[in-house]
Amino acid sequence: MWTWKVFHVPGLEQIAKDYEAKTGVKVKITSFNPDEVYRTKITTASQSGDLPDVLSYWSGGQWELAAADQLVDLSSAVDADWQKSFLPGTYDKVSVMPQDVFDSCQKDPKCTYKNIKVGQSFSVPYLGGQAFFVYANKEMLKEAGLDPNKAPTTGEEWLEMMKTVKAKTQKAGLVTGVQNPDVLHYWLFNPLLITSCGTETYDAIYNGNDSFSNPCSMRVLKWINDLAVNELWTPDVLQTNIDPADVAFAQGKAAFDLGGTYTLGFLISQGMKAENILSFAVPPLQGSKLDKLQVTASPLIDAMVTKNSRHQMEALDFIRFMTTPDAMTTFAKITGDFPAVKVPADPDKVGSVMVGLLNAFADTGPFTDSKAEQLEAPNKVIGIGLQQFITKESTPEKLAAELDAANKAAWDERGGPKQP
Amino acid sequence: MLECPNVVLVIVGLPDALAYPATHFASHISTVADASINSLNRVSPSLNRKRSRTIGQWLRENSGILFVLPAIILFLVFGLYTVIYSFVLSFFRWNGFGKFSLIPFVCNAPTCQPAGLDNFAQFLYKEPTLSRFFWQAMQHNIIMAVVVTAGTILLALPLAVALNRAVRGRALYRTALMLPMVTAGIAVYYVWSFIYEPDGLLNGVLQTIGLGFLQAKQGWLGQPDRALISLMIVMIWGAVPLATILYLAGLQTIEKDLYEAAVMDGASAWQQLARITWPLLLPVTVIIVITSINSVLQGYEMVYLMTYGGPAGHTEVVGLQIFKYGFGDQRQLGVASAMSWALFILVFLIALVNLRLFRPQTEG
Repeated sequence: MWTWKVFHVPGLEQIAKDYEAKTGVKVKITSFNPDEVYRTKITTASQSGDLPDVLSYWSGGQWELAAADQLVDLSSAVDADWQKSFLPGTYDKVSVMPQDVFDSCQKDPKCTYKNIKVGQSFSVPYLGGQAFFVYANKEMLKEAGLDPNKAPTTGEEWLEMMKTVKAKTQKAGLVTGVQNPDVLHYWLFNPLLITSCGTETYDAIYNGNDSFSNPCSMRVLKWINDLAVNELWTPDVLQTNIDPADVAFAQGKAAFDLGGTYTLGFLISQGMKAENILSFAVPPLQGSKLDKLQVTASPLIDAMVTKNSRHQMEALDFIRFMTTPDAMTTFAKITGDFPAVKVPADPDKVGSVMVGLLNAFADTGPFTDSKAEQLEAPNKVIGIGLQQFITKESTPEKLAAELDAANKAAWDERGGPKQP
Repeated sequence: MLECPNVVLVIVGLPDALAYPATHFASHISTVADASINSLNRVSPSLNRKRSRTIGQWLRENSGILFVLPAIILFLVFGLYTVIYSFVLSFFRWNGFGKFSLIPFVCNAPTCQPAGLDNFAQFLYKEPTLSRFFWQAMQHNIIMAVVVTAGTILLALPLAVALNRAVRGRALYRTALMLPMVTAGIAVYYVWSFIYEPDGLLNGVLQTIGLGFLQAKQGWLGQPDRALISLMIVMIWGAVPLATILYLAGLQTIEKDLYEAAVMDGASAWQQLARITWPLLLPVTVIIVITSINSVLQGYEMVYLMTYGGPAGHTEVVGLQIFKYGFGDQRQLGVASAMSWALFILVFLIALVNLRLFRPQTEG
């Protein structure tokens, strides 16, 4: 089995060891990193027919491999019992080809998986989680005279807390991996937008049927711009990627850190104490359509069986074993990462940090209902545009206009906006 | 009798060592035959020698091609084939997972589709957002190529002249100068990143010497007005040693008589530099200009490691975009190939212009 997450290797190896004890079949776990190296390795291996028996890949990215006839069709193998073990919104939403993704692909001249049919499945998720989690340094909140145990309920309240920290301690309010343009987009803009506008309008905006200049969207852009106007970011945030941002937060350089379920374990590994961390989901802005962001698990990594495997039956049996609650409990405890499988919220079995995260998840949320399709060109515009708030080169009005233009052009290329 | 000449004739076609058993066999037949065979055997060594000479001569005559044959095979397989592969790929849409090959030609839909000129059109003009980012990156590349090349020459030439005149410690200076060349790139980039941080060495030094107003509060790589120039400084720092060594080698080929004559004619140091050194070093300058522009336009690893194209795209270069298209999550290898060819054409044209501009002067 191949993976690109080095810190998953001990967890996967333990599962492999347990599987060998049960069946006598030995599974070797190999990692290649960073991401680009892993992608290149898979590309070359798929050309030479040297893919491993079991492959890990980004959830949602499996269609490209499946379309190239590299994966075994698991549609009939993943029976009802197996499906029940996955968290809602993981296998059913991303590992099975949905109608809207199929329709969109058929209209897109660049889509390279037009041969995949609705309902087909080629993979199962084993790692889940979600972004949109904010972590606060309780000691810093206390130092600023704020209640360290009270999470903000609105974006405005959160902004005021950051301003207070800045004024009282001269420390930055917020840090996150801004160097990666996707971070501000997916971790901050999207959760604020979906709560501010509601799922329907959120979908309409992205799908080309509404505008980024909609007041509910402008409110979000202005709030993000306020972070820069009030200089609440760490000074070098534009040069800070995801892990360095978490390190900076652990070192006390900012009061808040924007991350995901995967961030907490990393912060603790950096020496932070769990009791010094307050976590909450990104709070909606005042007047938002949704007064709370229900966070649901999303699949992040899927496991799949390759067609060139000479042990397809064993490989399928292994991924079935791997995604059992028992195996994933082992994985969660060893890696501190969040499985896409239902595991018991028992601190003895998965650790106290994981229990907190498990309890924070809802079964359904706005993102699981959303049918928004985010195209390449507007994605690039928003990624750079939100960074340009920090460099003071853009304004909410300017960015909204640029986004509308880019979104319209991208949908026009596909023959018009996506129909609801 | 009739068989014997045949036997010998067959043997003649063989090397000497193999011919022996047959001649030995020949000694057992009739005397007449012996005489006949002996006479023929007297001929065969000379034929063998002649043939050996022919092979040896052929080898000698074609030794050139034989020496370069391994390199030609390597070039054909790993050089020419991959170049042609990349060129053909630039006209296809391919995600890297399906089959795409030239010999035999395979491109199976839907993972591989013919795209015509669409891959080129997409980033050159057709797709407004993507083309805007492409041309912005190209602009950065051109600025870098001009500034880094000029900066390298402006620093390397005086350094080479000074080193050439240094009487004491020349070896020490040269060793010190070579350090940036022998230090691993990744280590250099990280050290420079630390220097450029908001609380890094550069801001600290500026504060200490009373130039605090020049500090970059968001870090030298984090401010749009400083990031590109900061990267170019590192590029120049890395390029100066090789350029200096080349100039130094060039300086040592200039005859001292020329300078002595110039001094006798009352030429100043500046006039000697402008009228003797610079024109005679022009061939070296051409090499430096072409290699510098080439490496700056095609390189991206420093940008990848130090800024990843940021802040807000202010240091994005075409090489980094190619990398993102080819090996990032977009997996558009056709577009990456098309962009590579667009960059190649630019580099090629610039090299041609350079050669054209400098040729009359170098020849003169």
